[in-house]
This record gives sequence, C-alpha cells and structure tokens, in this order.
Amino acid sequence: MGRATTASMMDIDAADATGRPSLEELYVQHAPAAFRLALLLTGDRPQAEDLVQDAFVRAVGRLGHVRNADAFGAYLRRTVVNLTKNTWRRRALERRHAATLEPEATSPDDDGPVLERIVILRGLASLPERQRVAMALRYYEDLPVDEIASIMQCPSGTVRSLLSRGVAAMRTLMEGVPDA
Amino acid sequence: MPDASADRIREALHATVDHEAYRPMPAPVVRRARRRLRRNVAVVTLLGVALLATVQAGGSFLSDFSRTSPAQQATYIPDVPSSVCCLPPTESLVYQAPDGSVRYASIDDTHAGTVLHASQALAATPDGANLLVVSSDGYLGIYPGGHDFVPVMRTNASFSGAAIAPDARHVVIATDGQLVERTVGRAGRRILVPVMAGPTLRNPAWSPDGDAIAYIRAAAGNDLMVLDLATGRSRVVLPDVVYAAWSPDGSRLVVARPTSDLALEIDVTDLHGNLTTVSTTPAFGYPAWSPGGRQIAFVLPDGGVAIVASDGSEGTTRALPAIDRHSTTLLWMPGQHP
Repeated sequence: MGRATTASMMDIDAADATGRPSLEELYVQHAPAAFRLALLLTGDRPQAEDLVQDAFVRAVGRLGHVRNADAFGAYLRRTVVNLTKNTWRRRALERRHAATLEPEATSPDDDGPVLERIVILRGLASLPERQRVAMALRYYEDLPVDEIASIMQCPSGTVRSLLSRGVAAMRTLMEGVPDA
Repeated sequence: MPDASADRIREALHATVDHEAYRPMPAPVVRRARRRLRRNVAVVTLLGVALLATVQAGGSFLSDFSRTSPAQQATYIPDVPSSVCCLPPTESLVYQAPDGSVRYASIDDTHAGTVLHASQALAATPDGANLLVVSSDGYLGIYPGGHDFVPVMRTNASFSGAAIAPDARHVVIATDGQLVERTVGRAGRRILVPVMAGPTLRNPAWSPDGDAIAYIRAAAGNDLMVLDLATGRSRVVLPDVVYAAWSPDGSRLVVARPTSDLALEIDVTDLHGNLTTVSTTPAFGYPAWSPGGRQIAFVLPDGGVAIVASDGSEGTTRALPAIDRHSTTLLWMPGQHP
C-alpha cells in the first residue's frame, strides 16, 4: 500500500471533480437495493436497515472497490451477505444461550394472519441460511450461479444444489397461496 | 428445477420486497464511513512505516541470523573449566596439544600449563591480552582469559582462518572464499575482499598498527596479498606463500613457503616482496614472531620448536611439553602482568 492508495481514499472522500460519485451519492444510489436484499435475508426491517449501514461503512473502508461505482454495488451486496451470515451466527449463539434460560420458545405459527408477503418472507426465513442466501441472490438479485458461488465462496454445483432444495421447499410453502 | 416454480418465486420475492420503501439518510452513514476512511488511512500509513522499518532493521537481522551471529542472537559461553590459568609473566609460546587444549610454555622454561580446553588458538592481539579461538563446537570467538568468551560467529566448512585487530574489537574471517570483517558485539558484517572467480582467500593476519591485513590468495598458486584498509585495495607482495605473520613493528612479514618435499621454508619479506631466508631447516608448522621482533619460532617435523634470529644469523631448538605434532599454529605471547 502506498501513496496512490492513500490518494484515492482522499479523492473518494472529497467527492471529486472527475465525475466519480461522492460517498453520499454512492449511498443514495446503492443503499435501497442493498436494503431490500438484507430484508429478504433477515426478514426484519430494522435489522436490514442496520445491516445496510454497516455494510456501506465497511465497503467504503475497502477502498480498492470504491473506485468504480458499478463494482461498488456488487461489493456492497457481497458485504451485506457476509454481515448477514455473521448476524445469523451471533443469533444462533444467543438462541442457544436463551434456550438454557427459557423453558419453552413460542411457536412462530402463533403469529397473526397469513398474508402472501408474510408467507414469502417467513418461507424464505425458514430455509437454512445458505439456501436462503442462494435463493435471494438467484431469484431476487438475478445473479448467475457462478457469481453466487463466488459470493458464497463455494462451488457452483453446491449453489445449484442449494437452489434446487430451496425451490422445492418454497414451492411447498407457497402451495396454499394463490398466484399473484 | 421447474420454471413455473422459479418464476413464481421470483415474482413473489419482488412483489414482497420491492414495495418496501427505503429512504436513504446518507448523512450519519457517510459520517461513519468518513471516520472509517480516516482510520484506514492512518492504519495504512502506520503499517507502511512499520513495514519499512521492519525491512530495514529486520532485514539485516534476518540475513545475519542466517549467517549465525551468536553475539546478537544469544551469548554462547563454552564450558570452560575453572582450571584455566592465565599466561605467565614471561614471554611464552602458545600451541596446540593432542587432547585439543591450548597450552603454553614460557620461553625461559619456568612455566607451562593449559590456557583453554577444547579449543584452537588462531591469533592474538599484540599485547597478548586476547586470544582468537575456535571452540570445539565451531564457534569463533575472543577469549580474554578466565571464564569469559565473546562469540563472534559460528564457523562452517569454508572457514579458512581468522585474525583479530589490535584493538580486539574487530575480527577478519576468511570464509566462503572471501574476507569479511565482523565487529564484536554487533550484527552484520563487512565484506573486505569479495568472492572472486577462481581463487579463495585464507589465513588473514592483521597488522600491528591495524591498518592492513595480509592474506593468502589461493588459486593456481598462493599469493601473499596485503589489503590496505584505508583504500580497500589489495596488492600482491609475494608468490608461493601459504602463511604470513606480521613483525611487531609492521614493516616485515615472516612467511611459510612450500618446498618440494612437502615441508615449509621460513623466510622474511618486506612489504615489497624482498625476501630474506631465515632458516634452511624444513618447518612443519607456521612461524610466529617474538614480541620484540628479534626472533622467529616455528614447529619442526619432529614436534620440537625452532627459534631462530629474524635475520637468520643463529638458531636453537627446544621441545615443548605435549605438543600436537600435526598442528601448524604457534603463537608467541608477550609476558602477562595482571
């Protein structure tokens, strides 16, 4: 790392005159899409908002990816996925800890009326984490399998397998929901 | 995967999430991002500085580590028995015994004993206060007496002799075919005469004034060279020499030259190669100059020691107790006055 990297950091921070977007512009441009992906992955709006903000701060810190606004979107998406996985890990730990304190957890089936979007969100949320990520990236972000494999750091065949199982599970969940 | 299901899932996901309004509020996030940027700039700068410092300081340390400098890495103290004694107040000859110890015998035959066990003495400072020795496990170091040992480096198979400067702070070593200088207690080394294609360098001897080093350049023949430390230039003094020792005043060198019957001829030369034969007696070991400069001693093939006048006018022989007849090293030490 040398002077050039430091200079590029400053350029980006200063919203330069060379046509590159400022940090504000980058955030406004990419945050909504990142938020929706985070919402799909977490099923929780406040948590998705936090995730997007954390991911943006973290992505900006990796300045090599910020030089190109297009590449920034992809990097922000990857960061959202990684942070979400971290959150799941933390939650799993918390759940295990809570299970030792609480005798019985409430069933999610006790929640209110069954609407289509709730079914979709909860259906997605009910998938194993890696299936959920693969499904969101494939059917919401429309990414090719190879790129999903790159983001998830696994072979393409594994992604195809995750997608196949995810579709089967979602199909079962959506059987009772009328077509849109 | 059925397309209908996939399409339905795709539509459902978009229908579920796309209508979710999200109004980006960049100000607080960008503030955090800027803080992180500034922190990263500071971290990158610090890492760069640390890396540079490590490369500069650690590089020499690491390269020296590979060359084994016990003075820097750890102080190696050989197991020196408490029976080691000091040299006598009279001049003495220091030589190698068959049991691997360094022994001494005073010129006046009044004292004899062991200087150091399990070592080989290579050279001494003109005042006789410090011996340059190689321990039995290969460490070259300075022995000032008692239980002290100042390690300089570990020798390897290419080690071909060493000499100590008069101030006892520098050592010149013939190793890996070249002459290198090490400063006692410091890492690193200075190459005095680099490796040349063909010849290797051996048997250095530091002049009494500390300004020059005599050494042998061994190739097809063996040339006696003298390196001027001020200019860094070497010049040939005399051909066909295997060993040289400086006279105490630094004006001449006593040299051992090979003869046709595998013995050595002992001569004296000035710094221009003008040769004077001091003994026609075949020598087995290398010569040593007396501290006063009037006599020269060398080991004979029968294990005795010849002591001749430096102008070749007279000579005597004497026996030394328990001398290793196959050892070539002989040092003539001044009297010690603790």
